Amino acid sequence: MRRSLLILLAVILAGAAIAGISYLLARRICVSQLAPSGDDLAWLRDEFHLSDTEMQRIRQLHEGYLPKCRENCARIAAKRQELLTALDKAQGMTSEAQQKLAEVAALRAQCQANMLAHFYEVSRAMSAEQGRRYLAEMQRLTLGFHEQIENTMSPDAAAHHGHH
Amino acid sequence: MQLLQVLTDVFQPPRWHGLRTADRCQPAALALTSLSCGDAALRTMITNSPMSDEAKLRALLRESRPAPDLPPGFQDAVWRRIERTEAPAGARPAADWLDHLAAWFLRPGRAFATAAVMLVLGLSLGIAQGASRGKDLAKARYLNSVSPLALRQ
Repeated sequence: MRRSLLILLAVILAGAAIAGISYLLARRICVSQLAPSGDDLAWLRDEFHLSDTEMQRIRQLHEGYLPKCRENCARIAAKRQELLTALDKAQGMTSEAQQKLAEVAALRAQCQANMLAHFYEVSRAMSAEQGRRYLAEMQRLTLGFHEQIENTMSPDAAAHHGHH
Repeated sequence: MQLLQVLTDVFQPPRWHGLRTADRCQPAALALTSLSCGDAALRTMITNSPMSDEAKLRALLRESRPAPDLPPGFQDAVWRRIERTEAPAGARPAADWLDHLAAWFLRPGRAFATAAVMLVLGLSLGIAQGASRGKDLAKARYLNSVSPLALRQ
């Protein structure tokens, strides 16, 4: 019985080793094959089954959008720094800090508007069905986070929170 | 039992090779005597025969019929059977089940089949998970390029 137990233990260990090693190898190979190798748009092509013509058009749009996006990011970062400095200086909420806060929010809104405009353009470069899917996915991914925060702070959520 | 052993030895043809005439006659005589007179007579005959001849004869007989080699794991099998007989009735089914399972895996064909199943299982899971992970990374890369990090913090 002891010998049988040892055999079964060896079988289990060998089986686990074979399965584990093959799993890790296959996973690594798949990730290296499917993960982006330098092309930001690789996911779009695979996910939305884009043709070469569609990809060419989308690449043009993407390359046109990136400088604007970087510019917006730099402006937001600079305005945030100004806000932090104003808050540090005043040690509280002043009219200057409030103004900086409003400017950061305006820049963010502008950035979001630019981004959504870009998504609409890209979606129009795809077939109608894929375009709808792309737009829904992008809205969910880029605006969804803010919606989540706003939902938790809505009156319904606050009332529910009060019952606890 | 001794009588039977001697009789069996006597009537085996190959064992006569290399014996002297006197040696060859002795066991035959013994056998005949024993057949007619029984164990007592046989014992008398054996006692009367020279010891050295008997020893030689026995050695020759042993050489002429070599014992076959025991199969591998014979002793283990014997001990297992003894253990099984001595084990309490409640413990036996579990032990039997384990023995059968272990024996099942010890067949080379089944061992290879099990290894192949584990390999395919590992590869399938790895491919599925790797594909999903690769897709997630590609998606994150696109999102990072189009959506400023500040907006998603």
